[in-house]
Order: sequence, then C-alpha cells, then structure tokens
Amino acid sequence: MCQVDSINTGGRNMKKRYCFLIFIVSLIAFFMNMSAFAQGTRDITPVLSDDCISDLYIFYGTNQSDKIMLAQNSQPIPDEKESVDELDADFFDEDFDDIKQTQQIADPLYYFNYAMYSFNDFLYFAALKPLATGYKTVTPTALRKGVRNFFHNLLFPVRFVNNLLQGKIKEAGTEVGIFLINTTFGLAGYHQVAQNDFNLNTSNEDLGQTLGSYSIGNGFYIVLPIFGPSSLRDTVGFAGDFFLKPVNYVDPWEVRYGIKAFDTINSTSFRLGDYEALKKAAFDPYIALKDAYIQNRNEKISK
Amino acid sequence: MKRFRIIILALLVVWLFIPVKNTLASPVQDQLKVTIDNVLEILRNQSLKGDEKRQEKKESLRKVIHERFNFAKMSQLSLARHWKKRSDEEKKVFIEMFGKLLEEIYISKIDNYTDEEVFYVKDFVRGNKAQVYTKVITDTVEIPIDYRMYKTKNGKWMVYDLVIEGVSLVGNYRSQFDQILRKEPYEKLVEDLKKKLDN
Repeated sequence: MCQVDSINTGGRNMKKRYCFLIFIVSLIAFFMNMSAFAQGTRDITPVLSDDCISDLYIFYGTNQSDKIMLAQNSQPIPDEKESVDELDADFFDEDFDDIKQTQQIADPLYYFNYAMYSFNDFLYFAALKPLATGYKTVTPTALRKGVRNFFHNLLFPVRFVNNLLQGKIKEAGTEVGIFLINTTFGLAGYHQVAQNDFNLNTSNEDLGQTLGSYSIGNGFYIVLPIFGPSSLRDTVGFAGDFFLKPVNYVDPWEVRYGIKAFDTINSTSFRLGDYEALKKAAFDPYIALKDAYIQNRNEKISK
Repeated sequence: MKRFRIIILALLVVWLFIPVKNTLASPVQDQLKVTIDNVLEILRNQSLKGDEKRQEKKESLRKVIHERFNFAKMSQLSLARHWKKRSDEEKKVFIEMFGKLLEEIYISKIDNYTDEEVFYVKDFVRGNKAQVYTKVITDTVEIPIDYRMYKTKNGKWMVYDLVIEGVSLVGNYRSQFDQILRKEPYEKLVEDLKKKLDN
C-alpha cells in the first residue's frame, strides 16, 4: 500500500494522509452500515409507504391520529389493563364492522343470482377446470407466466386511467414507467422487467374501485354469467372499463373471444383448487362466495 | 506508537457504525413466527410422511396450533349474536368441532406451500390487538395471509382470525352462520358441521 511508504516520510504529510484514510474508512463503514440496516429492516418495513398507511386504515379505521402509530408500530402501547380473555365480543367486534355491512348487502335478484351461480359452478367443473388442467400439464410454467404478464401489460389503460380518476398521480406515473419498460425490455410485456429488476409495483385498479373510492356503495349483489360475482357498482365499472381494454377492439369477434378464452384458461391454470377449497370449507357456498367477494372488494377499495 | 493509535482510532470509528443487531422485530411477530416455523417443520418432516404416520403428524400439528390459535374465541366470534343463546355444553361441543374444521382449513392452506418461505411483511400493534401481515410467495402466485391476534394477561399473543387474500375467515363464517340460523335451527348447523368433519 502506498500509505505504508509515506509513514516513513513522517511529518505533516503523513498526518494528512491518515486523516484522509480514517475519513474514507469511516465513510465506507457508514455506507456498509446503511445498507446493512436497509437489508435488516426490509423484512419488517419500518419505513412505511403510503400503501402501508392505507393498510393501517383498514385495520384501525380512517382516523388521522392513527398516523402517529406509524413511528412506533412495533411497540404495543401499554394502556388497557383489562385482560382480553375476560373482555366480551365488543373488543373484537370492531374488526368485523365491515362484515356487518356485507351481511346487509341486498340480494333482490336472489333467484337469478342463484341460477347464475349454479350455471357458473357447472361451467367451471364441466369446461374451465378440465381445459385449464389440460393446458397446465402441456404448457411450461414459464410460458404460462409470460402469457399472464402479457395480458396484464395489455390492461395498462384500465389501471392508468383509474389511478388518475382516483387522484393517485404517483401510482399513475409508476404505471406508465412499468408499461414502457415492460413493453420494450420485457418484450411486449412477456417479462415483468419493471417489477423484478426495477422494483416498481402497483396494485390493480378498476372503475368499480374508483367508484367505490368516491364512496359509492355496492348497491346490490349480482352474479354475472361467466364472469361471476359482482355488484351493481362493479358491474357499471366493468362496463365502463370495457372501452379501456384493447382486446375489445380486436376486429373479427371470433378472434376477440378466442383471445379472451385463452386469457381466462391461462389465468385459471394458476388458481386451480382455490374454488374447490372455498366450496369445501363452506357451509353455504353461495353465501361464502358472496361474502368473500364483497370483503375482497372492500379491501381493494380501501387501498 | 502513532500508527497503533491511529489504527485503534480507525477501528473505533468502524465499531461505532456497526449496526446493532436487529432488535426491531416485535414480540407479536416473534411469537407467531415460532408457531409457523414449527408447523412447517412438522409438515416437512420426512419421518412423518406416509399414511401410517398420519395420526402422529396430525397430533403434533394440533399441539403446535392450539398453542397459538384460540379456537374458542374464533367460534364465539363466528357465531356472533347466536353465541349467547347456546348452553355451556353446546358451546363446548361447537368449539371442539368448529376448531377441528378451522385447523384442517389452515393446515391444508399452508400444506400446499411447505416448500416455500413465509415472508413477514409488516405488523401493526395497537393496545392488546395486533395484525401480522405475511405473504407466501411461490414461483407463480403470492398469497397474503394476515393473522389477527390479541394479547392475553401473561403477554402471550393468540390468533383470533385469519385474513386470507383480504377475506377474513371468521367474518366469512359469521355471514354464513347468520344466514343459515335465520332459516334453520341450530341443530341443523351442528349436523352440517359433523358431516363436514366426516368427509
């Protein structure tokens, strides 16, 4: 090392060099430290993004003062002295307030809905499941993932417009970035380069969620043939999003429906067994599905 | 001598910046992690594979899960307003049976992903309640599983609800039980539960 020689030369020069050396070493140590911290904390994310804040709202309700919790999220506040064991259901009931609402979601079209539910159930077991299972066995996972990514990329206009409509400017920008990167480097969306290498992530937005974010309620429950559970609001949203989906502009309708069917079979191939599990666990699959749909939508809207 | 002093000084500076071992993980997450790790360990255990070992495996899983899941609370919350109308004996039977069902659902959910790692995304604690957000990430899908927990008198955290992909398990049963009990007697529900467990 060059420093070793300079020690012997002595004098001020040496001191200067050593000061410099110490400075560099401490700088390196500092940066190593920083990255170590970043790695160590990634698992528990104390640095909370906006997403986390809105997650918090799901849990605690939309109280501004809850934001203070963020700084100390891992420290329980030792206040309530009562033992939870002795507390009655009221202590827990606030978690299920949302569910109370879902129980109340009107189902005026019950007989139609039940018929559609039975039809979709039949369709799943008679057609979709065997098709998707066959497709899954003959298609490599990498290809199926690529196809899923491609269709996801194609829905960029839906996510972009609805982010804008919800005033999520930052997310809309991220969405543009993801689209540009994946369309070019990701070969028309086949690879999710933006998500994997640039760590860009957004959540799926649609018009139903946008309307929900404007405090428009579900209306009532509808089961659409083929598409499955929905609500009045989400059906309106679904119809609106129709115009933002490029697939709907494909000209000969045979090709258009062919593409849609392929998309459905491909995405179902990832979720085989989920519907069966839901049915197996349910006492009343119709209600279980309805409740799961509403809960899932509420969660997405609050994000 | 000067050289040593300077080296020691440099070491001191480095030492100052060495991060303190990560102490940020909260007790609620630590406690949950112990349980999940134990469950995964049993599921992965080669010596417990196979049909003849099924009962043994089930027993050890049950022991671990009962340490952390309060099935009595989950039963009570699922029956909600119908809970109070039941006699103590009925409650006991219901907890026993419904607990078994929940146990099976949880195990079958996690059994599909034994080869995957569970990621602890974040947790929120408020007072005696907490929600721990986890994610099972496989090659093809990401399944968020959140644990709602409460703290008992002796500082132990217990699970009282599972939220899988944004759907609360207790909430889902709550809706179903309420709708069923509006039309049918309680005995019918117990019968259905029995049938479910026999399958």
